[in-house]
Amino acid sequence: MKTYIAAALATLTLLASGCKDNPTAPSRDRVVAGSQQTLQALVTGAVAQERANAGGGAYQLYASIMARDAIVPTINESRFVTEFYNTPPDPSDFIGGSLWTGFYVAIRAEQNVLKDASFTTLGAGDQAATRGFLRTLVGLEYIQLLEYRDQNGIVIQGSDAAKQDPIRTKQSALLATSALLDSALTDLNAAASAGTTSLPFSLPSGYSLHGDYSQVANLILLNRGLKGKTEVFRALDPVAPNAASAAIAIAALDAALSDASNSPDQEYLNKGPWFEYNPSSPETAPNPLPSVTSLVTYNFVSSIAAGDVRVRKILPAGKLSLQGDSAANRLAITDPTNSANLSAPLPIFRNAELYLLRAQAEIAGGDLTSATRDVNAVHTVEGGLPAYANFTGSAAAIAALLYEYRYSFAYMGPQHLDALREYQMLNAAYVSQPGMPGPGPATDALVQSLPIIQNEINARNGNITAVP
Amino acid sequence: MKSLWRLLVMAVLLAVIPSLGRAQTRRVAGHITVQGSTEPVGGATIQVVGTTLGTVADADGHFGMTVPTGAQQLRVRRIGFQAKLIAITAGATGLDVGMIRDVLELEAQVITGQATTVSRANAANAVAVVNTEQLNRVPQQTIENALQGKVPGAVITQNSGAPGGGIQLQLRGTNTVNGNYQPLYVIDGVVANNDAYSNGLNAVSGAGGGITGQQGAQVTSYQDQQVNRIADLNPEDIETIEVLKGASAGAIYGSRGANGVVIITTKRGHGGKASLDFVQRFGASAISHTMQLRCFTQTQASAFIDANPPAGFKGSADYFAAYPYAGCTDPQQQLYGNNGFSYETAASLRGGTVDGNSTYFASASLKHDGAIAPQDGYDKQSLRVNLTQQLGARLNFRTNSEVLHTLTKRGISGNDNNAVNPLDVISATPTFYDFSRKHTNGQYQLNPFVGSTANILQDQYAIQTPENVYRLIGSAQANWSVLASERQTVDLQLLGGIDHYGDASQVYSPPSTYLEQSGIISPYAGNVVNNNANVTNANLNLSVAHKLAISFLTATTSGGLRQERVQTDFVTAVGQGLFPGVTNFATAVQTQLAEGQQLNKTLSYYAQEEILALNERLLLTAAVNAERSSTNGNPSAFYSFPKFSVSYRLPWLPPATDNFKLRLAYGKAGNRVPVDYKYTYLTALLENGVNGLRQDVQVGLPGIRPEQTAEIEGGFDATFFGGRAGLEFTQYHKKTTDLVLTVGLSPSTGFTRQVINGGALQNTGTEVGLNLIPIQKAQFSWTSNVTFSKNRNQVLSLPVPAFTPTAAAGAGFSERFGTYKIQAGYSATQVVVFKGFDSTFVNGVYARRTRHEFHIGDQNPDFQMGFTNDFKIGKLGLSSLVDWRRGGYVMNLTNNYFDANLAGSNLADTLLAQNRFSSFLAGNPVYAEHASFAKLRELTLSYDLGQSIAHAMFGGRANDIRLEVSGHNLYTWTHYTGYDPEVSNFGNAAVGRTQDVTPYPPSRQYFLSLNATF
Repeated sequence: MKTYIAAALATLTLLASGCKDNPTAPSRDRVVAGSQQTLQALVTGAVAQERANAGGGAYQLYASIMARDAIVPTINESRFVTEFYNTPPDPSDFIGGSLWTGFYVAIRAEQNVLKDASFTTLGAGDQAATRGFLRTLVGLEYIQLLEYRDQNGIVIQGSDAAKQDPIRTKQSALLATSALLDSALTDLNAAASAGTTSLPFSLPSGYSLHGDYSQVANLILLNRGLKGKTEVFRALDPVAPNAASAAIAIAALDAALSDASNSPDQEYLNKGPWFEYNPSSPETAPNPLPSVTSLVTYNFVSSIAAGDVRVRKILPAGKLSLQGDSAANRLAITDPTNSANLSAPLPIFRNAELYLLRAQAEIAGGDLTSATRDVNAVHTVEGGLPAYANFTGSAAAIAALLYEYRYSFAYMGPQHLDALREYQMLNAAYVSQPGMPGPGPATDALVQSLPIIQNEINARNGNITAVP
Repeated sequence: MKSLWRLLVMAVLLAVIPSLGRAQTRRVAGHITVQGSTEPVGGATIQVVGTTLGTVADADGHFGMTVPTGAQQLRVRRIGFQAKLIAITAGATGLDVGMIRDVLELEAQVITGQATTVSRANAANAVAVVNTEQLNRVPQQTIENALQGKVPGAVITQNSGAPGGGIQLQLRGTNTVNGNYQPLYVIDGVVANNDAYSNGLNAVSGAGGGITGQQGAQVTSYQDQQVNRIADLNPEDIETIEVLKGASAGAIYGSRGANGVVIITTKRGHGGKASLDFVQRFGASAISHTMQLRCFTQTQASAFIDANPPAGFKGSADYFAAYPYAGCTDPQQQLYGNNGFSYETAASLRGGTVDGNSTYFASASLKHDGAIAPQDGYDKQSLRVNLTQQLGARLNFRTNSEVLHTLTKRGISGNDNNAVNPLDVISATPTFYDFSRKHTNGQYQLNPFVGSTANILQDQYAIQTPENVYRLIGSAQANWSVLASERQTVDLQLLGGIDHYGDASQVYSPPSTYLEQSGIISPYAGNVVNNNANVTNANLNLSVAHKLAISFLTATTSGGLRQERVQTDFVTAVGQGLFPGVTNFATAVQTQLAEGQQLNKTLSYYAQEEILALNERLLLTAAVNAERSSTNGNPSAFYSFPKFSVSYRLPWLPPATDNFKLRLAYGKAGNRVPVDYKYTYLTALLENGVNGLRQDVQVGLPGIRPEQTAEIEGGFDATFFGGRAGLEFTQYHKKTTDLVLTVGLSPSTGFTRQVINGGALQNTGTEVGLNLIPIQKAQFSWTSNVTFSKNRNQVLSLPVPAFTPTAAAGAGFSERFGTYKIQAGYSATQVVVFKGFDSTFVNGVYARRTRHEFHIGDQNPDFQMGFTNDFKIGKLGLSSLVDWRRGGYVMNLTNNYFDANLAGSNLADTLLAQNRFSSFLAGNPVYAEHASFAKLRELTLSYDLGQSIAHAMFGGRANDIRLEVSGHNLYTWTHYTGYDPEVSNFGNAAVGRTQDVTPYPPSRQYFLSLNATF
């Protein structure tokens, strides 16, 4: 009997072995901090999130629809029509709720790198370069957020992840972004002074496609370009324009274009960081723009100037499966039948925009001669058109500027939308064609911006009033 | 911890204390038969009241046992018969016992602990017991089907009418928002796995966002209408199912008992002559409801095309030259008009040695259920062997093992963003287009009315959706009677069980279809998703039970421990751009791989004291289960789950009353923390060939605790008129605290949600069961059973503002259709709808808006009733089950598809549809519909050929042959305007289940069966 009891007790002891935890996926607690491999992975995670945000298709498409350059008349998803026409987008819907969260995830990821033990093991120069790069990236993300939320404002994310930061007005957010970019410049300059010429980690290939943006010198140019864009936004804000910003913008953009020759070519206009895509395994991240359902509007097609070589971007839509439209066109870059499109890179920020931004600041400052020069830089190289004679009035300059934004940046981002909004000309951009509400502006109520998303509203118990 | 060990050691030591003395004894022999006949009752237990002395009758009903001298009372019990108390005189050495059939299941043994049972007549909880006859009255694909309408308090919903399951069972409302909401299934002591795995259909349908991300990203979707794997079990092998509905009964299962426990006992052998049961069934199915589609005259069709020319056509002349006017077709019948031929062959052999020391039960079945659409269907093959071996007087071994294979082909249904789901395509295609028309080369024609150009018949034959599951469920159990004296017994039980399966599913969409060539799914034609889930549940139980019987009470002390391990590994491989005929994802142009791993380890100790006293009128139980789990924030901390209950059978009864029992039970049970909720994970990704890590958007909770539900239930059970009537009434209240919530964070923090413990919700409900035998004659009997249940849920408190659950936990689509909201003061399953905005513009610029929403109802019904009637007229039997559910809301997006996808609607009542859609656009919740219904769930007509005909047919080898004609889901009475109000497309969620998104249409089934016993 004793033997049986002993066996039973031994079995009990054996069975009572522990429940040691054994997580099966990586967590912050499990990844080895302090290693170069970890630093590289965290930086890659942050920049990959930026590609998911601004390179994810919606960033290019929604602005094009809002500017009435594009339509998506598919019966399978009517919300591309119902949410962009007549009524403001629903903040809980996939359109009204988009282009917000991902940017903040990226910003948090960038803040996490700076807190990680891997970062603190770097030398002073490398730390400054890393800090300058990441802060410049954050500045870019705030700009991208503001392009869609405009006067609704955005949040400037604090360093404490557990703290809910207030929604700031557009004016306040621009001021904070401008200061952030300046502090990033200080970091980059400090890195350069310490002899650091490049980042202590590798960047995705798109960052060296048109200029090597792992180099501190090029990051300084990028930083100034973004600073210039921020100040143009401030200068031309229809609600609270800041007159002093035009000059600041010109100075920053001059610095950003300080490596330009007198007659920039296409390669120089394309200079900047880009997103690259790899549609093949193992990455399988194709360019998101190719789609059978993405079309350009009749107005976009009919308004292009005779002789503009950018007309080659416009293709007949061919065999379409869309209800109600049999004479549609699309941009070459959205053509799904061209498999090369799946790996076509998209610009994050390129010099052609810097010329047009500087032209905006110059128009605001009354320097139409310089504005003509900068508009022509794009007009002649990218449009293949004869140079404009000096503009004699700002209206003509603005019209020419908008034209360049429209055709040089189609499906590249909200640049055209930004300018239409700044010059309060969005109301002229109505659409009228089969499948769309219309005709005319009376029935095509334009969407100026996307709303503050529903989860943000819920988290604030409905109070989303932006604070200065 | 130390005290627990001491308790266990004490229990063992108690067992070996020698009994104080032994009385003088005599030998008594007897024979047990069905009262009024010579039919023996084998397997009955005979026990001397007030002692632990007892025995079991052999297969012929004979028994012999030692009985103390003097006048004694014997209690004779057998499942299926009413217990009998027999007085034997001082000198008696033999007796005959006549047993009365227990039609109302009053005497079934119900489980009260891991090694203890009690007669249902004494049970302190309302335990539902469903026996094999009730389960298999009508052939059923799965056991959840078989339980529909038979368990008060159970809400059973089905993803859609697709074959092979996808059914969820919820008992007494929901206790959770994010956790598991289904009961624990225990099969012969083995904790069974009831997970559900996506087949990756969204790679084709684009539902739930389709394929996103890379390396660990979610490539499968909760919208893929997964099948809960308990569906694999073979209902034919089941002897009984006991349903412990709440925490007060389920406390013995600790952190998995809060949602109730379904205890399944499979059939076993018996001593004596072998018997063979053989069943052969043939069946058919038919679509039970179709939408009435709009018809067009040729003139109307021309006008329609001229106003809405499909892509590539300028007008009607152009169109009709390519696609001649086809009149008014019904594509629902073209696709779902199959009769779905079904068959099942099942045989089981049971027997054993004459002394009953060795018994066996072996079964084999082969089943095929055809579906209403060609190619789809469900196949199941299973083999089971259950063995029992008695070694000497003290050792008993049991093994149970089942090997099975299921193959499910469910086609495409549910949410769809690529115009591939047949009902989506039908909703957008006018009926003057004929899907069945072919080109001269035999190919179906392209459909110009949808972006995918999909022809539903071409896709039905081309797209393959097989899901193969190979499963082994087995257990080995050793029972050691350490001590067996007149007054005391000590039994030790060791049980090890394993449930292992491999689930290999595939979605293959070949490159040749119009759908694939349209480019709507991917730039590369030809898609395949190969999924492999490897799942293992293993548990090891050790328990000790000491029973002490003295003159006025029987005390049973038990204790033990249970160790459990659940390990899953799920790999999904997606390939886009396939060569024709190739299904290997690695050959595709684009490939994606994702893997999910989970591991959970649990250890629990329990101790229980049960006292049956006052001539078995009073039952007192106290128990505690202490458990720790690797998914808890602190994996070393034990959580205790206590239980107390009392039942008392009144000794003084009013006239015509046989028995009246009052019962009260309290218990606390848990709901295990979802795996991996305590960490904030890093998401793996790839950017230009470089591996990256980024924080997940969900913030984990390092100190996470399991949800805990405390339940109190009380009620009474009464029988009247000599067992001809029975009434059960139960009222319960349960409160769940420490809810595991994933609440929305301000996304500008960089996280979208956070796991928290907090808040509380309650469920209060009533269950009533009325059993009647209005007529009980030799040639005519009528048994009637009525069940009623209602449950009211309320969120009592929340530590955060009201929120919409995450998509996977039932967010629904949009408030415009009706969605779900967790809000204090309201039901956790409430449905809220959006009622428009008031927008404010400043200087023409949108500034702010006020959002209006309101509570419209609840996803769960107000109440449910089941009406079962069995008639027996000589050799003819007729039984029926009507299931009535009142209330509940379903979001009928299917109507939205039909209203919106074709200009002016594709429904016959176009005016109604257009008005409905206009109202929807104006912000009205027209697609949230009442889901009340009554269903003729089961109807069976049987004829018993009798022994003489059986003998004549099979030369004396057959004892009985019965013929049956039966039907399942034969008719539905409802005002619901969709296909089926029972639909639950996103069924695998505690809340947010009642979404009707172009489901697989429901069907009714008919069967002809032959049952023979040899």
